[in-house]
Amino acid sequence: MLRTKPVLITAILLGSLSLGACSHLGAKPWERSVLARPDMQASADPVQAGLDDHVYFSKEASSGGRGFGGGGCGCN
Amino acid sequence: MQLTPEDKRRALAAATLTLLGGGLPSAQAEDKTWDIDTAVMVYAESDNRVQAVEPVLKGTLNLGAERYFTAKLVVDTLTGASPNGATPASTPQTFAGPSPYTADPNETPLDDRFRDTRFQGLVDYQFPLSDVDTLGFGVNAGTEYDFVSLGGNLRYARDLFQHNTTLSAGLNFESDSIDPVGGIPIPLAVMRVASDSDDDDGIDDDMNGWRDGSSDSKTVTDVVLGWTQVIDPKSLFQMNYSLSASSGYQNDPYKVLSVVGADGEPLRYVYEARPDSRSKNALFMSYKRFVFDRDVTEISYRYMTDDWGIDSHTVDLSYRWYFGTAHYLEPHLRWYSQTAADFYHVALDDGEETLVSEASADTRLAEFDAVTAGIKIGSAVPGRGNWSLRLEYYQQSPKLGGVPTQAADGLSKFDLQPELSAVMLTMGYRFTW
Repeated sequence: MLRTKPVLITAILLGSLSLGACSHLGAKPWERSVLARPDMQASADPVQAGLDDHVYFSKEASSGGRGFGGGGCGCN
Repeated sequence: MQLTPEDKRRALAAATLTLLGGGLPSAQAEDKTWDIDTAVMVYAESDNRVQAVEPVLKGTLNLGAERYFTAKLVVDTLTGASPNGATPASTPQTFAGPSPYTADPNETPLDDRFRDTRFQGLVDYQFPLSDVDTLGFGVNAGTEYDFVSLGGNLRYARDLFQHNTTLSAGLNFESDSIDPVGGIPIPLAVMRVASDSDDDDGIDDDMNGWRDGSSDSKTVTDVVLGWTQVIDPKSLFQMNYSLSASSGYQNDPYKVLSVVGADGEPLRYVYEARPDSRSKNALFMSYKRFVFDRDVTEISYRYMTDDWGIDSHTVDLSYRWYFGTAHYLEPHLRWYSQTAADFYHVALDDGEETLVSEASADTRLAEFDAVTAGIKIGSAVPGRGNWSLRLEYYQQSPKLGGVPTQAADGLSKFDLQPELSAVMLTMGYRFTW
């Protein structure tokens, strides 16, 4: 377990650097009209996502992923 | 609403930070406007189990220059019954405590005292440090009848490669205190017998001995490292690694385990005992794409593993199909699977409670698969109030495990792991003010 953390972090950093540097990836500023759409945001509906997180936090043993997974809920 | 080039450029960094904290509306150009996001969820489990109504009100004030102040209030009203961890029996079972309750023969014992109202609020502020750096911080508080939670978080995001890549880091700290009805039970102590007088049967009928104190606490520290990447003008990839470390009281003070004889019938009940710390690691990946110049589809996957022996996989799929000019239908599918905690036992053999140091019969720590299927309909008209209505069905299918060896035959006559199903109806309305 302890070994996987640095590996993951390194993979994220290296992956982002290599992908970001690749000329085929990304969009120019004038190509961003689709990416600026509300429904194309990484979290298009944060309020309803929060409701879902609360249901799953209280019924399953997993939480988090998209964001913080603490819960702030007494449903241990 | 026309977006300025600045809004477009910063949309990715802002959205990335939103995931970690209080959140902000989609890119807004006008200064000093409120984005009001409201929703109500009605949650109903089958067989008169948990019912909940959960309204949410969130307001984000756009202060201009990419500065956002957010306030959010959630109220959660719960009623109904929840499994207390005990196995069914051939005769009625009565469970003691400040207000005793009884389970019918062959029925999964449900604690019908489950009734609570939760209030949760947060405030958050997010602002740019430079053209490529964004900082955000927030505080939150939650309160229930027997539970208080206080927390704070700090998030940072940096854009790279012409804002096509965003790296982010977030730190969240939470302090919880729990003050259960009747006090904190001693883990693995025998639950007193209802209507039993104070005698010398070794069971502490006046409950003075099984209480470990009136309240207890735990702290949770979360770290999330994120990478969001614009793949092309129509798609986005995101990957998060998160670590959640929890220390302190992890038990559910209302959950017990049955100690059963070879015939599978209960001899007594003991309070559950979980480790006093938990460390969870999760890897989350999401891919979102604009398709057919009209629709939006997203697929995500999460792998989680913890030091309680639980591994889980979650796959989530959605497709937003636009019909007409600004209305959509969005089918959604979610599949979830988890392994059991190392200390999960459906029940304990006679005497086993003195041999184990940790045990829980909480079905949330059992091995199970779960499926959510749903559909959402809504409007998405730029600059106008948008509504949505979502109906979802959730079903959990447990797999039997942690069966005590000597009582396996005796217990086989009972349905030890009944399925759980629930219906969720969510109404949402979002507007600019």
